[in-house]
Amino acid sequence: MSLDEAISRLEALITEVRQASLVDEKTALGSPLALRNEERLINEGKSDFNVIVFGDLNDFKQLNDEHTHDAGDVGIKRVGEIINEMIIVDLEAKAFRQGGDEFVILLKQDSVERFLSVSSALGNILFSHKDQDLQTAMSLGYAFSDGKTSFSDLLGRAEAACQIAKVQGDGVCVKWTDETKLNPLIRLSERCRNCGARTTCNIAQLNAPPRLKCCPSCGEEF
Amino acid sequence: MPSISCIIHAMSSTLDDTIFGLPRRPRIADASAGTILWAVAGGLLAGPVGALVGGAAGNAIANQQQPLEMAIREYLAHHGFEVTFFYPAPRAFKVTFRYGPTAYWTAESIMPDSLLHLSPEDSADWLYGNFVKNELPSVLHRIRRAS
Repeated sequence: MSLDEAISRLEALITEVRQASLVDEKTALGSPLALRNEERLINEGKSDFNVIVFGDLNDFKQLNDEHTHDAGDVGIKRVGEIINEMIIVDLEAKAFRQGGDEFVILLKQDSVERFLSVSSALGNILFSHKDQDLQTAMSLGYAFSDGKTSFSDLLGRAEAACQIAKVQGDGVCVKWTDETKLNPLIRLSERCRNCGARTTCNIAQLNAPPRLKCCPSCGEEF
Repeated sequence: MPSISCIIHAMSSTLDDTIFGLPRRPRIADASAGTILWAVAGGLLAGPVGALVGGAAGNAIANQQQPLEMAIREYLAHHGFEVTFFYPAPRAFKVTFRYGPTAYWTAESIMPDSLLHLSPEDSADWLYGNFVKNELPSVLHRIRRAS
């Protein structure tokens, strides 16, 4: 093999590896590396996308714990398929699995209304694994780019809006506003001294009590 | 005097198409063009696609056995199932496959400790054979009963 041939083979190999690294193996959506590439374009003002959507699966740990990680992987796969069919293809969006059960979708501003009309489908994703009927669901938050905020901060806003969406229910999609910033959700957590159960919930900061009062499992005061 | 494990190893490593009565992995030339293309794209196979597809007679690569993941994918595809995830381990594997639009099953093949002496190639053959002869038929039975 000549040096030129060796170099061109190496270049072809690098191209293959690079392409593979941009695809998430569980969902065929974009990988975290692909998301970082888009992040760079957004930060440099070179991207067509100006709406950042963040979603993660509700009670995903429970799905894994109760039905094995194999079932959890299938759930992740189904979510990826639905995002691909309903959002990427129909809305010309881009979507990525950021890791675990976290997904990021990039939209153009003029497709937000259509996105909101289909996003409720992500609130009830059905599949079966080993003949057990299972369900998973996502709640979502989104933030508009104002051209002055970095991608990282926009993603943080979308995540904050997602936390509010989770309280409102499966498939809910909440827009980040200044109010989200002024009244963010805080997490309260207590372990019951009577039955040992841990209770955790997200509550809007302005309405939140100093601490949780009663254990929902046994009714005893914390 | 050779140890029992050496004798067993010799018995299991013959050119026979079976290992301990279980079928070995098929040759690359026996795979469908679709599976070969998938294996090349996925990095499981290296070599010119043209020489692999159709398995040109005498082609050294085409006469090799299929990598385990490729053989399992090919076998399940032949039965109308699509592999969703393949989880390999040194002496076991798990595979999740789709048997309906939103219906999945995960099955596995695990080598017993008594076969620790097998070479990596024989291990892959045993895992394949155990899957297609023992594990998958019982899963298919349960799938048919459920649907």
